[in-house]
Formats: sequence, C-alpha cells, structure tokens
Amino acid sequence: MEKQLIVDGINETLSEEFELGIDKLTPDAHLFDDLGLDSLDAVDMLVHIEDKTGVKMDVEQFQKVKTLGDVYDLVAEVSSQSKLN
Amino acid sequence: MSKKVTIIGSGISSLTTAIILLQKGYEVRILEQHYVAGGYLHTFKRFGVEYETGGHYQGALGDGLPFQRLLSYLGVFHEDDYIELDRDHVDVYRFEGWGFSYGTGYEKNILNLIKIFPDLEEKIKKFFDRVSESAHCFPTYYFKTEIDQKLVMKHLNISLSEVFDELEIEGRLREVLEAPCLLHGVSPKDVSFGVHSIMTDSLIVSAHGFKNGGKQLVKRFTDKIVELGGEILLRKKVTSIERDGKRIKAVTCESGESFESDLFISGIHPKLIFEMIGHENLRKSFSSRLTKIRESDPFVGAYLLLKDSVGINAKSNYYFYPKGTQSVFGVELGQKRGPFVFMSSPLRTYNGEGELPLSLHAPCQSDEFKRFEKLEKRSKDEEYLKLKEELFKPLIETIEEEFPGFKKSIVSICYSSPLTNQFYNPSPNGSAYGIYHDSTCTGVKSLGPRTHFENLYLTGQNTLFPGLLGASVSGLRTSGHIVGIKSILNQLKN
Repeated sequence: MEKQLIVDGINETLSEEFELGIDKLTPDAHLFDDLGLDSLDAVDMLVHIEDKTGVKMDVEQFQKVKTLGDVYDLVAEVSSQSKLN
Repeated sequence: MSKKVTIIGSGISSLTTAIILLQKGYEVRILEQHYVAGGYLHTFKRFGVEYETGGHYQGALGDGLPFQRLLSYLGVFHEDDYIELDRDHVDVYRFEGWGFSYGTGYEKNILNLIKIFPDLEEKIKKFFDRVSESAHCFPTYYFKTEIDQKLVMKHLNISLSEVFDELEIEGRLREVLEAPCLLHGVSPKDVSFGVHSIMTDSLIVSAHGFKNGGKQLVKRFTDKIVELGGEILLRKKVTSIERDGKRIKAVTCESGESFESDLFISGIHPKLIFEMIGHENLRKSFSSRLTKIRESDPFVGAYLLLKDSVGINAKSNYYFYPKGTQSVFGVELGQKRGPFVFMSSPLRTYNGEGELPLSLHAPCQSDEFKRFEKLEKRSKDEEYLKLKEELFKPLIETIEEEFPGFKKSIVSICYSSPLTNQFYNPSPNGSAYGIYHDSTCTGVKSLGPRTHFENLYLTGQNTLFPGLLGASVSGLRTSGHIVGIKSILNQLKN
C-alpha cells in the first residue's frame, strides 16, 4: 500500500472513530499530549487501524509509538514487509 | 477506611476477584440476578440428576498445576470435590471413519500420534514442544513474576494455522491437532496460538470432572467469601448504571435498590454492561469497536438419561463429527458449518451399572431461535420444542452409529436452546463461550480489565479466554490490576 494511502486511511479512521478534527492530524501530533488519547484509546486505535488497513501490527512495536508520524511509518513498514513476504 | 467494591454477576471470575480483594482488605458485595450464585457453575436438576451448564470438565487441576494452585490460593480447593477422567481417553474425537483419543500427559499423546503418523514424528514433537513452551511463558498461567515479553508476544501474535503452516503440518494430522479448537470455539485461522496453547496444555497435563457438580465449587467459594466478610446478594439484577463523567457512581437493580461504591467490577458480558451505561456515554472509538466484536456460536443442549451405558465411558468426553463434516473448521467462516456434537456425563463417578446421565451440546445458527425470543410460555410451545428435537435428530443418529443401542436406551430427554442460555448466563446471542476470541480481542487487545471509566473494571471469560480456568484466571488478572499482580503471583509461585 502506498504511504499516502496509508496516511489517508489512518486519518480517516481517527477522525471518524475518535472524532478528531482533520487539521489536528499532522505527523508531529503527539498521541497523548496533542490528540488527548490514553493507553486504552491506543488499543482501540490499533484495532481500528488493523481493521481499516488490513495490516496486522506487531503490538510490541505499536506500544512504542509516540506521534501520529510514528504510526504512519510503522503501518507503512509492516505493510511493505508483508508485501515482500 | 477500606474501599467498597460492587461486583456484578457471580460467575467464577467474580468469585475469584471477590476473594482476592477481600483478602487485601476491600469491602466486597456481589450482586447476582438469579436465586443462586455461580454463573456457568450452575447445575440444574432433571430426572433426579444434577446436570452441568458449563463445568463439564476442568484442566490443570492435578497436584502442583495452575488451576489447583489458584483454587488453593483462594482457599476453595478440596481434593474430594474432583475425580480424574480416564487418563487414556479424556477427549475422544470421532471423525468420519477414524478417530483419536487425547489422554493425560504430553508423552502419551505424542506417542499415540506417532503410531498413527509414523513419518511425521518430528513435526508432532515440534508442535507439542511449542504448545508447552508457549503455555509456560504466560505469567498468570504458570504463575511467574518475571515475564519474557518477547516470547509472550511471539506466541500471541501468531495464529494456530500459521504455526501449522510453519511446521508444514497438513491433512489428517492437522485435523486432529486443530480439533481441540472446539474447546474455545475459535477457528484455527483466528485463534492466537498463545491462547490456544494454554487451553491445550491445561487439558493435556490433567483432566478432572466434578464429583458433586459445579455447585459444590460455588459453595466453597461462597462459604469463603462470607467467612472473609463479603456478601453475595441474590435476585439483584442490575438494570441501570449511574455515572458522573468518567466515574461510575451507583448501580440500580430491578428491585429499585441502588448500590454505591468506590469500585465496580463487571463479571457479566461486556456488551451488556456498556449497553446499560449507554453507547452515547462511551467514546465513539470504543463503542464502535465493541459493536463490531463478534459472538461465538450459540449452542443447543440435550440432557438424557440412558437405561444403561451402551459402552459409553463416563470418564471420557466425546466429540462427533456427523457424516460429511470433515472438521467443523474445515470450511470457510461465513458459510454454514456442519455441526459437531459434544457428549459428556455429569455423573463422572458412574460405576458401569444402572442409568447413565449424559449431556449433548452442539452449535447452531444464531438466528435459528430468534422468532421464539419474545414468546411467552415458550417452554410449552410445540414448535419451539420440535425445533430443538429436530436439531438433535441427525446428531443422535451419529452417536447411534458409534454406540449401537444408544437410541433405544434413552429413557428420558429434555433440551435447552440459546434462549435458555441467554436467560441464565446472558450474552447477546446465547453463546456459551461469549465473544469470539479472535486476535482482535485477545492478548494486549483484550477487553478489560481496565475500562474508559476510571473505577469500572471488567472480568470474566470475555476479557481473557473461555472456560472455567480462563474465567478464574481473568479474576486473578482483574484483582491484580487493582491491588498489584506481583504480590499475588509471588504467593502463587510459592
């Protein structure tokens, strides 16, 4: 999946499911400080993103993400790896 | 001042949580909707026999094994309450034209499989090594205070099917190794290997049945709870929940009584508790996730009394696959599955003489009983009775082929439907295993124990994995979140 498609998919999920304004969804937005999410939201987010993109994430790696940019990168990385496999 | 806790529902997870919190000085009150506590440990009397609703058999109850250690830690384990199942034939799987019996002990199962599949010795050994390695790495199962996070993740992040693919296990061997998926109701493609390994390990290391029914264990639990100063209030069906922002203030029962406390723990189906809170009061992200979570298959049950045993071993469990059903998971999800039937006896002490009671359980379609949902005096409705009877006809024929004379030997029979289940142990569709425990709601992605409400916790099979062991361990996990898991695991370890 192309990176831009991934970014768009994740943004769409976040704005729909977490009711976040699109203007807030920038790569440097911190999930907890800027988007007001907590650790439980992060789990819900993981499930929604997997559902939307069809990409199965490594939970351990996902627990390390801090910004939205980290999320885009991780999903893109896992997506390209699964394509190679 | 000690903190007050209200627990909703009195299944084994709630009872486990209650004892741990009481031991740690909390004030605990349990609200149970029925006239008797116990959830799936309920038994009911028909034809002079106590039939189990859920406690058909238990794994890991042998000396030094996890379930026995947990029950001993809680002060509710009494050796005399249990009887060991047939060590050579715990779970007897009958496929079309062949079969396999799982027994007690890894070595025995490995040797028996090698006898059938002599060329696949290495694969068989590798598979069981992996099951054991996985089961032993979970800290709340074999009770460890140190956790190898990488190993846990390795086993949680892979499905059972993916493990078969990696080990190149196919055909009949795969069929017999995936058959125990019936114990959690999740397809091998969807079940996390970690979860599956715990269920498999628990039944390989030891298998027991209740001598005097699941209600005996409930009595042990309730006696202990009362001894520790807790209270169990019966006929208290919680119907509404009052909240104040992100805190739960009180729960109100059908009777009109309201109960306030510092903490609330829900042992009932998560969908039901959040429905009471109201989806409009949940974060949309959580509400939509919860709505999307599937339920496992609903079950129909038949409870029989046989004139004599016709060769059925009361210390075995039987799984039959009617003709044409290669394996219940052999077809893609979404298509109508061929049913299997699970048969066991509630009278594990049966000595081979006299009448033998049996129960049969089989999955059915979710919508099959929908039309009878609102019907008053349903139990007398002819169409309802006929549907239950019809569903069992082909299944009884299958058993007859295995045990000639079975049909003629039936003295009495009665049935249950998903609606019966919905009444006694409410779930949205009358499923026995609760939510469909696929990879979207197990491991880190489990629902609970924490919730988006700061003083509401979840417990029960839906928050971990199904079965009495799964539910009881979920109680350990929930109380661990409240009082700190390390000190509890340290005590359990020793």
